[in-house]
Amino acid sequence: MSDQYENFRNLVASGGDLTRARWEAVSDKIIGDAERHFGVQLSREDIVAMPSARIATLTDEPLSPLYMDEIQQLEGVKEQVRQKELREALEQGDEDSHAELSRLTPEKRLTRARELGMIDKRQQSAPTSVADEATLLRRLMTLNPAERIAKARAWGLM
Amino acid sequence: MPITVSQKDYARAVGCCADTVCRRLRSVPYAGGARSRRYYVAAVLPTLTARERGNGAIQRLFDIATSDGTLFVGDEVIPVCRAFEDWLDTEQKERLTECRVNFTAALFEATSSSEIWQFVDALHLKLCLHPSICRFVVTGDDTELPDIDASFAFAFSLCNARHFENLTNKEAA
Repeated sequence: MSDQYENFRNLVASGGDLTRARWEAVSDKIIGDAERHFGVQLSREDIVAMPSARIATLTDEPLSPLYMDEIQQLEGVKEQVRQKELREALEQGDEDSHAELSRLTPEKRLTRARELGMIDKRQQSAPTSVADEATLLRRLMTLNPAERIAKARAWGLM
Repeated sequence: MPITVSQKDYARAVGCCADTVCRRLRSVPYAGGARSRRYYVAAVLPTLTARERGNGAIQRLFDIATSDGTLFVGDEVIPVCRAFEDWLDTEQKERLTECRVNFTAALFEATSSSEIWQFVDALHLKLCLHPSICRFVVTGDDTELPDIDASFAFAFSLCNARHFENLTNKEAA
């Protein structure tokens, strides 16, 4: 896969200071923007795969505004966005339990929190896949039936 | 949406006049708006007379009925499922049981999470509203019967599991 871009790497390596400086400037900008706008971490290796970054490095053209779309098309980014959504879905479940707890009287709150496994932090820090599946399924049940299948696929449940 | 017919479909399939259709379907639950009522085939089958059943009205009802191809079988359908099951004869009940057994085994293959299994009673009831399963149970025609495998069982469960569903015939107090 990486061999596809070997030519480009050689050009950057042998292209003198100007090309190298441009490559570093372009890739730093893209890494920064990807983190700011999408909350994903990119490496220089990821950026080699983006056509607009390569063009901006090797020519005098400014960086094409299309690069934002290209970021979203990167396989690594898609995976990170999916993971982020998954994490949010899992944490959302916690918020629901917090909302439920806040409605209870203080005495009952502690008992219920213990039942929900929210007191024992050690247990929570290493959630089993079974517990994760249960949380995600519980989240799914709050959705409209038509959306459930799509979400279940997105979360890797089916 | 499960497999449904309109009043006109019913009149055509059964061969009776509009007044008779209105009278028979008055207390049958329907989906859709009041002007475009769609009746569950499972709910209208018990309204047929013995003579109509002998004349092939059941087959014509299934042929004329339409479904939107989704797995979701509708809200508030438990009474429909129960009434339908009561109407089945022994042989038809056996076919329904066969589907349920396969469904249970397939669902267990897909997941053992109680988040799904807590709904299993309702899912067993709703299974008979799936278009092809309904047809198979009533007529024994298994040409369109889906493979009841893990992915089917899981998808059907996801679409049709609902919290706070009343499984008894009694109204909630």
